[in-house]
Amino acid sequence: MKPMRRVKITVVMIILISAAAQTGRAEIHIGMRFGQRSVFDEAVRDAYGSGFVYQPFVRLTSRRSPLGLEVAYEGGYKKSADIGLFDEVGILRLWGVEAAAFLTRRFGPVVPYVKLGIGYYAYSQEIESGFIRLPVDQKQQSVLVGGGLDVILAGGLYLTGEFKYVPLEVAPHGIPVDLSGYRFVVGVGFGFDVLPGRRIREVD
Amino acid sequence: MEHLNALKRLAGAFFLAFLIGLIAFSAQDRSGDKISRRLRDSIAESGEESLFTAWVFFVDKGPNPAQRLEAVEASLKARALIRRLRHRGPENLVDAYDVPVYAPYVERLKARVHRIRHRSRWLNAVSLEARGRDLIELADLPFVLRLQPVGTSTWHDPVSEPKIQARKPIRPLDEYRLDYGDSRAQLELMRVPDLHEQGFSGKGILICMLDSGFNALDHQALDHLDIVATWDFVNNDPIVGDETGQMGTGSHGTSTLGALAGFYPGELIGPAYNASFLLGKTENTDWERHIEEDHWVAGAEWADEWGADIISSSLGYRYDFSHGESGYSWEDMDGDTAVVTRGANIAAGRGILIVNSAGNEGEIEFPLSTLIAPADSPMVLAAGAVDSAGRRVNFSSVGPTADGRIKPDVMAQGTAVRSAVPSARDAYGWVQGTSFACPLTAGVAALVLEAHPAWTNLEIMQALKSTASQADQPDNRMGWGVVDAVRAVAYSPTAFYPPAEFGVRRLENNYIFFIQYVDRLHWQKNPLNHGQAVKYRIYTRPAVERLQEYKMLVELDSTTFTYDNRGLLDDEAFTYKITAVDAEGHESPGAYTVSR
Repeated sequence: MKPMRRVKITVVMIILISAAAQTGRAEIHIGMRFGQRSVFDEAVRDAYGSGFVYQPFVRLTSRRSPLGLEVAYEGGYKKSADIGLFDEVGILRLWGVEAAAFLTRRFGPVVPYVKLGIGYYAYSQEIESGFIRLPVDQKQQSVLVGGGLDVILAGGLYLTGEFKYVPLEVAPHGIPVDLSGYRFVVGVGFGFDVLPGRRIREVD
Repeated sequence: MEHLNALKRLAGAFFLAFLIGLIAFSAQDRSGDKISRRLRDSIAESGEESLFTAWVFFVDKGPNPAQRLEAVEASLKARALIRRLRHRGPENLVDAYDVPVYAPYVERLKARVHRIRHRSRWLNAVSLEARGRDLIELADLPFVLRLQPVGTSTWHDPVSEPKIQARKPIRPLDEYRLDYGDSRAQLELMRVPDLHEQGFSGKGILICMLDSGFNALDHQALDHLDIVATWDFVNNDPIVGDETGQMGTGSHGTSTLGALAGFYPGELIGPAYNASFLLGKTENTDWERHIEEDHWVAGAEWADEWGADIISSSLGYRYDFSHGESGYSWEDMDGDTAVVTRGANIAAGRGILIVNSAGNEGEIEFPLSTLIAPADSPMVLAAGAVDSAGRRVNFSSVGPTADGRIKPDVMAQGTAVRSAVPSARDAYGWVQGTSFACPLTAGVAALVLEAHPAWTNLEIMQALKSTASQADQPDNRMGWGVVDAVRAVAYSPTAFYPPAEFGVRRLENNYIFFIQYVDRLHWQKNPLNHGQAVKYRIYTRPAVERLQEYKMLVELDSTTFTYDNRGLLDDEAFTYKITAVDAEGHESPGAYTVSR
């Protein structure tokens, strides 16, 4: 079995265990993070560079378990650059959907967490040229790993900051391109009990 | 006020010191720049006390070189004068290339170097042997333009024995007036006997052979030859055979000469057995020869002085030299970089037809070719090797040139070639290599020139290429194909010529996630058309579709142009054809190139 597949299976198992842990006193969080993502590939970096991303997310946590679940969308990276021999305009878009399990522990108003998940990432490159013969509009699975910090403000509202790494090596036409990269994002979240009226994470 | 003045003086002194430093630094930088990177690296690697062979190029030819042109013109030998009149016209008999190197420059170098090897008026340079330390000092001389290593290489002849296969004669044995013996197949392949039957034998044509030496010139197949002059450029004496204690053995030259001009009916007849010869020994070993390009350039200048019509050179300089410090890269095989190629171009500009072996290096992964210099020159007819059935033999070097031109140009038999060997006066043997395809081709060129004495070297090249066996679909393995002597003689040189130096470069168009390719075409105005061409038409077809009609891509009115057909994939190769069109709409024959 390939190492990446083994990692993905492990991640899915963790997500499932986390889901099982949400059996009672479940809490839902919604929020939005914004920030920058980097791209490891030198050619991509030179041409397009790092870019803005936004991440709407939904979390499911439980008061009975340190494990939680998060589903997020990552979009916003859309950059253009002059590429090729003739400096034709290329537009690169990167986006994805992620599911992750996270482990959290509360220290007063500060809630650090680490997370491990799996994502379904898409990338496309459009070039303004009449000569392009090979499309770049593909999707690929990968894992993600990250960690962050929530700072609870009041009434279920909290600030959140996160660092995340996603390895993503692609080769749509045989040439390996490393779309792996880090994300540095900050945002706000709002959590509430699944049962209406019960807010969680109130400041002690 | 006093303090202010002191401050001013101090600032002035600083400024002056800065200026002096700057000038000194610039001067040091300039002298460093004069030494080529390869030579600098060699000196650093081997030490400043080691001996190096280098070219020293001069900035000019001394004061008033124009005044010396008259003396140069007056000194031209009769044959050289006739050839130049034919090729360059009376107004342009000599030019700056013909002015000798300025002697005082050479004298100033002599005191500082181990030995001056050759003076090249064409390159305005001398080749010399000197210690690394002395070479670095030479760079400081104001009249020195540049220093670079003399290119060296090891020439390989094919090592396996030729397989001799009896070939069924094309015609009955008694068909010809001459009995060709075992040399019949190599001549019939090029239809040379038909020209012999018509009375052509190379008479009146002066051919200069540059080779490793010529032993046994009293061989029964060679003793009829009119040898006008000989010179050993390695040992600087007129003896081109072996000499005790000197470098070089001469079997190879004996055999190339025998293939070209041997004449002993029943055993060996060469295509141009009645031609006259200059024999230049330019290399110093035998079957695996360490060769140096300055000898070749000196030999070519010598051939020019004597008025040679043709140079047959079974030598060449590879880019993957074992002596990497003095080698050329593959990118240098662009027809205008290697010193020996530049020398060949100047020789061709004086009307000498240069036939050079393509090389015995076989095939290599595209786009790298296995050509040897000066076969990469557009002005040199590069001869590859085929067997007696006209099939390319696997050791024959392939093109393209680094700038995308098709090479070799033509093919001749290069395996199981019958020729003289120097072991005895009546000894004959089977030899192989493009070394022997070259003199066979040069022999045919001599017959064509004999038939058409007014033709220029470029016209003869054009005739040989345009009438060869695959002239309508040339490629980088066999060029325009096997030479056809009869058709070449029948060719009409008054035709309208295609553009010259038609080549293609396949460029990578990197879109990060994938690469597409662009075939960038380039060509030059053909001087043979004397300004007749007003437009150019470019055609193409997939390289593998040899039966498909060419499709016209574009018609242009510029003399040079870059055509970009973007969006090619790696495995797509195209054959391109270009024609010239005159004001009345007449279209020239095509020049061809292929993108792989």
